[in-house]
Amino acid sequence: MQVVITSATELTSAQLEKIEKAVTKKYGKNVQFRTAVNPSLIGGLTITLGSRQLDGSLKYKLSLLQKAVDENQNAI
Amino acid sequence: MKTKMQSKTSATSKVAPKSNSDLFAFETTLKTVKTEIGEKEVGTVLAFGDGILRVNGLENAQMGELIDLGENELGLTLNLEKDSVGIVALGTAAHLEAGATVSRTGQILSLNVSDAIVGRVVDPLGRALDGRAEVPTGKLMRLERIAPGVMSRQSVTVPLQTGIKAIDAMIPIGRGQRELIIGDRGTGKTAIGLGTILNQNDQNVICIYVAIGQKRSTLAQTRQILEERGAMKYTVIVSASASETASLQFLAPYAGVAIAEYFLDQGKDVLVIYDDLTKHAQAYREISLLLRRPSGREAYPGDVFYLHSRLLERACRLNKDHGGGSITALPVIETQGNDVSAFIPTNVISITDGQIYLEADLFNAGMKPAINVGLSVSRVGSAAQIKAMKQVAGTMKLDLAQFRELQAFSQFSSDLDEKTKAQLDRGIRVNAVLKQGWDKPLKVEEQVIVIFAAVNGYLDVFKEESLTKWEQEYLEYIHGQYPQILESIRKESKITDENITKLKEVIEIFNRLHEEWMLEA
Repeated sequence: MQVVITSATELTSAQLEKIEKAVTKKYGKNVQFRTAVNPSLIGGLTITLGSRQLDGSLKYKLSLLQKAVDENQNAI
Repeated sequence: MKTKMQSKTSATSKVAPKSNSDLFAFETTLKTVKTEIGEKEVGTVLAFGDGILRVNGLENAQMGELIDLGENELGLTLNLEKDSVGIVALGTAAHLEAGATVSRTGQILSLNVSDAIVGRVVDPLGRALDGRAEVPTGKLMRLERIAPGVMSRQSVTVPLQTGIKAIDAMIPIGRGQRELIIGDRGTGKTAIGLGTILNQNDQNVICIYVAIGQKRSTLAQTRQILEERGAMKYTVIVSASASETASLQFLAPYAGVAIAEYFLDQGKDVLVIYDDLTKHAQAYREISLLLRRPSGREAYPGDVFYLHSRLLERACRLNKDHGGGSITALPVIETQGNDVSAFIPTNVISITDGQIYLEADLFNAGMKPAINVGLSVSRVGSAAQIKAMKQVAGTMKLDLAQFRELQAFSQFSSDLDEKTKAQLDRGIRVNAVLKQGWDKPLKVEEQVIVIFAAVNGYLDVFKEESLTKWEQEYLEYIHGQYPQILESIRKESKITDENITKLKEVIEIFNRLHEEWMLEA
């Protein structure tokens, strides 16, 4: 399985190692890692495992806040 | 960290709080939002062009599911294949490129409907198009819903008054019926639909006008007319104009009926006008061809019949146990050169409960509405008429049928016997009485007394060209002098024997006042 780690800024090798260790622990040794940098995430990172994506980026969290505010305005 | 995020959101958010109390609500909202790590199912765009995406991944995507394309744009799954998913973008989605990531929303296509949607102009996804605030959150209505079953339905018995004499008298439409309006371009199809909406102002019917592939200028005009005549109070406009993507045009009628079902569930009567389904079929053809589905006759895909049948089947009249509401559908179809045997017209004719057939020749000859009475039918028939109308319209149909036969025949000979001449004269006058301005709907009791005068021969003595004036002044006269006759027809739904005698007297008196319109003896 291919795992893509996308972050807003370049990760240090120590950080990467930590993440890779955690993923390998959960999904076994049969994974290949790839890294990418995407500044539009603003902060945090996303991990894509096949067609599943874990989104811990600041962009996603902000979008949740935006959605809540929009819904709130709509209800008023 | 948390405070930093909050300040960022309020700066980027498009909606600014309006007052202090709003600001408070705004802050509480932000504090209650859970910002945990999100888990979603994603796919990679393999190809994107002409509004169609082919996506790898999204293994568990459902049919008709909304797909998040990013940048606030949505897509809709239409093809599920072994190793890719075919998606139509619901907007332009200009930011997408091959390799981009899209994700599932887990939401089946639906739109937000609440009671406050009445009077609004929305797009097929329920977003406001009239420059006002979004429709308040109510209920999510699915665009695709299975039509009510046999056991929950009831036969159509309550009339839906269009206010158009020719239709209410001879092609009556009932609440819950599907009646097709068909004709060439510029024959007054839309006018019949709009006239019907105008006539619903005191009928307790909610109207939904679905504009598919129309010019924005036309739509603005339509809205203005409805607004000026006070019809927007009970009308919703769903619009996917010509500049919108084919996918939105394809969804517009389903959005219209989804809104109708919201009110149906409350037991209300709803009228939906689909203007027009020819453009709808063309939009669906475009999508199908781009998705590389096999094409059939006139390049339409194989399921184009089902496209319209599943839409129109949702028109219904429910029985008491299911709320007793109804959805009446008036689909519009545009023909080319009077050809009703083209693919889409024949399909829709066979689905509906009758059709109102408009002809360019009649229109050009000044017959407005240009309804061809011989070819138009309503399969519900007189079950959807009040008794008073049945009393007068029966004779009218006969008069007109005889007239049409004689008219064709009399063109060959100049000297006709008295009886034939009289029949022709009667026919001409009955025909003339059916002429009516599209924005001048008449109440059913007014229609009844006008037709009563025509079929009983009270108009035979008048010149044809003075009949419009006669009708106008006659109605004013009755309204002014004998409102009790109209009142009685409205209340008892029939013309009592007493009123028949009375009406005959009144017409004679009125006619004597207007000898200047009579033929010279």
